[in-house]
Amino acid sequence: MNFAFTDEQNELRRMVHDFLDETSPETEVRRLAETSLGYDPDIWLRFAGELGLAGLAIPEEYGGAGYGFVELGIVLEEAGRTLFGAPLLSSVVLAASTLLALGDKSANADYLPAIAAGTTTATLAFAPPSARLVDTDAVRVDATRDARGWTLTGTTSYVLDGHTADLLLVVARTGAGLSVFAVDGAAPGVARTPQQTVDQTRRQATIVLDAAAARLVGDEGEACAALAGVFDLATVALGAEQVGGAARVLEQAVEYAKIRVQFGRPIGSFQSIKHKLADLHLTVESARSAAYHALWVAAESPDELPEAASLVGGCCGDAFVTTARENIQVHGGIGFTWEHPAHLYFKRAHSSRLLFGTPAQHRQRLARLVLAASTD
Amino acid sequence: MSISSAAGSEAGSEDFEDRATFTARVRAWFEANAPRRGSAEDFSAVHVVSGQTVEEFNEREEHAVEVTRNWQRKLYEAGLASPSWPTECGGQGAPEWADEVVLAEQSRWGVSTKMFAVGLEMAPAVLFGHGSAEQRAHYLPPIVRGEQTWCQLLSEPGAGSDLANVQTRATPVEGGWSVSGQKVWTSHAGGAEYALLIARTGTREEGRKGLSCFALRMTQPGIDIRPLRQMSGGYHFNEVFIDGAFIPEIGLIGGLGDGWLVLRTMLASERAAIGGGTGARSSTQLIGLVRRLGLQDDEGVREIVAAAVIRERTLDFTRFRIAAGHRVAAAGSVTKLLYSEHARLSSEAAMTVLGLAGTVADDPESAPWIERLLFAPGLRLGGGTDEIQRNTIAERGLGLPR
Repeated sequence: MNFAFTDEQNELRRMVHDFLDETSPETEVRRLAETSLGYDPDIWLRFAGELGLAGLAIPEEYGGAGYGFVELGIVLEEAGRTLFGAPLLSSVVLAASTLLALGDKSANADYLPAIAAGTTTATLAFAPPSARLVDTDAVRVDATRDARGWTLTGTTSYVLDGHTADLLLVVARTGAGLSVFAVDGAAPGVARTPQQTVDQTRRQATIVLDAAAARLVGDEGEACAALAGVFDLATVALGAEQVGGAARVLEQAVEYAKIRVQFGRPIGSFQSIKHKLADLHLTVESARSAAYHALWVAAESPDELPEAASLVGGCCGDAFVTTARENIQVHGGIGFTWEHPAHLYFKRAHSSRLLFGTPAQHRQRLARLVLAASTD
Repeated sequence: MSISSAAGSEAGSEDFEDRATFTARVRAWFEANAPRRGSAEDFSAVHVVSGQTVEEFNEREEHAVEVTRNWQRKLYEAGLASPSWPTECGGQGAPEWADEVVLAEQSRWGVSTKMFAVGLEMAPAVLFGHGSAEQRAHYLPPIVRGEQTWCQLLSEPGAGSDLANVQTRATPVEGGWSVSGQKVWTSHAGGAEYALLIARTGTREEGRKGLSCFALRMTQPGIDIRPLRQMSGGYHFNEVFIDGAFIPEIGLIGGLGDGWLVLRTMLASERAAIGGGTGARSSTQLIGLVRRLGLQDDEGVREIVAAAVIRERTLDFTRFRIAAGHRVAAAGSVTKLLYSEHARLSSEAAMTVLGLAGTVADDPESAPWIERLLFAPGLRLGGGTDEIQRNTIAERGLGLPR
């Protein structure tokens, strides 16, 4: 494995960092959190079109830049630092990865170039209402076919950016098993209701489908294996985002500990604060190592992906939660206020930790994999 | 045989072969020469932590030293011992990555020269950082050849975490210095040819400014080594009483009064050496234990296994990142803390998995874990306590005020 970043990758990080510095300051994150869209379409078009960041990991034949998850991970880490409100996880990670995993050339040619350009936003809908875990057995959307083609009926929830996505990739059940269908977000028979998300910087919606026209993507009944890979990639991508967020809140805590004076000295000179922050540093660097490894695996060694992804799922979400939670404590009262950004990260951390499997679930899977693989 | 015929005595790193070629050659050499498990040179028994009597411990430790010494010599003869060192110091003048390649291969084969870490890692860190070319050419070649091992004479009864309080004194005499004082917690003092010594050359009031660093020959009159028994039952540590031992001029490393500066280099290197691990794969061994006990389907056991795998791999990946040039603040303290914590938690986890078998040391499954369990507290002390490491991370790594 190779952990060294190339000059080009370092340049990419600087570019994304500068762009987000300019377009996603805290004031903007807060403004967008109050809007119905939840993101700024003009900024998204610049991000995708001008900078080419949405198509980074999409192959060139489908209008992307043909890079891989290492580059995408750099973007997500930077996005996580600033809580960038955008259909990045939904459209670029979930939807694009689902299309690529299903390998339907015609659908890819129809959808991926617009996703890469940012002119279409897409998302993946897989969970029924009140779902506790990612579980494809629980899918509650049914697909039926008649002379006019496929239609979908049922309800799906927790759909990332589901209220705004132009293209919905919906996991539905047919007689042959699970399949993925493309549904126009504005089509008749599609009713979308934003959910009241704990993390206001990332939106989710419930989508009720009532005989909505749909297009089968990939082979009927063959979605399960592809989706397992997609959730692994999503876990890894989310891990990179979580590391970015965790690193940022640790910086906030360290900066504050240096300037906040109590008992006549900066609180960062007290060992209780020093040791807390040192422990968080270990937590963040360990999580970062897990995420970077898994990004490399996603790009270069897909056979190792399930293990690498569960390693990420088993530690990065918890690392972000720990860091975001302790950041509030280091700040004291001001950290508990609405005006301070600490709670934005706290909410992002807790929500993102649950998106693609809980840490405990990932650790159980990791253990199953390593215990089965061992020949000792 | 010499693997490195390309590197002549004056070869600079620009003349050295590329990494892929070197790696392939090192791999082939290890394939042909690395000791197999179960062979007489098997390294899995080299990590000695216990003994019923000091004689038994010494016998086991001498055997371990012999196995390690032979391996070091073999590496040297193949041109693979510290290849990045200049040829006049016993190396090959190779780029720094050559050391990493050899280390990675050693780890893969479960062989290690960690037992000689003071000579192979800390002494060179100090000599390259603060010593003269003459000193390097004098002290380093016998280390690389596996002929001489080193120890450290740092802590004293009144100077543990507070090393600035060292009272052992070096007084100028004809041709060098005369040293007297008492040191403690010195590992491998018995077989060591030299010690890195911190002694007071100034006044007590000068604190850290009154300290200097020396290379002290251990095999001379005036040095009395008394083994201390540790909680693990081993005699790893020693008290060392020094009464008028002599150090020639060449033995002063760094300037007079620069001891604290040199010590910081030494401790950073020690942290990195401990954080670098011993090559023991405790999560792999834990997985083997769980399988043999048939506990794969126990949810609680699986949580324990996953936590161990996550700790061990993220530590490995963190080491790789540091080696690849990622900026990790206070990297040595980070890996040292992660490693000692992993050692502690893994041995505690194994006790949970073992259940009642963990109460007896003569069970073949429990024995190696009990050794680790009883050694783990020391890992959290050596090279600076957990608390000192956290202070270092906070102050030097994160920039918090003292």
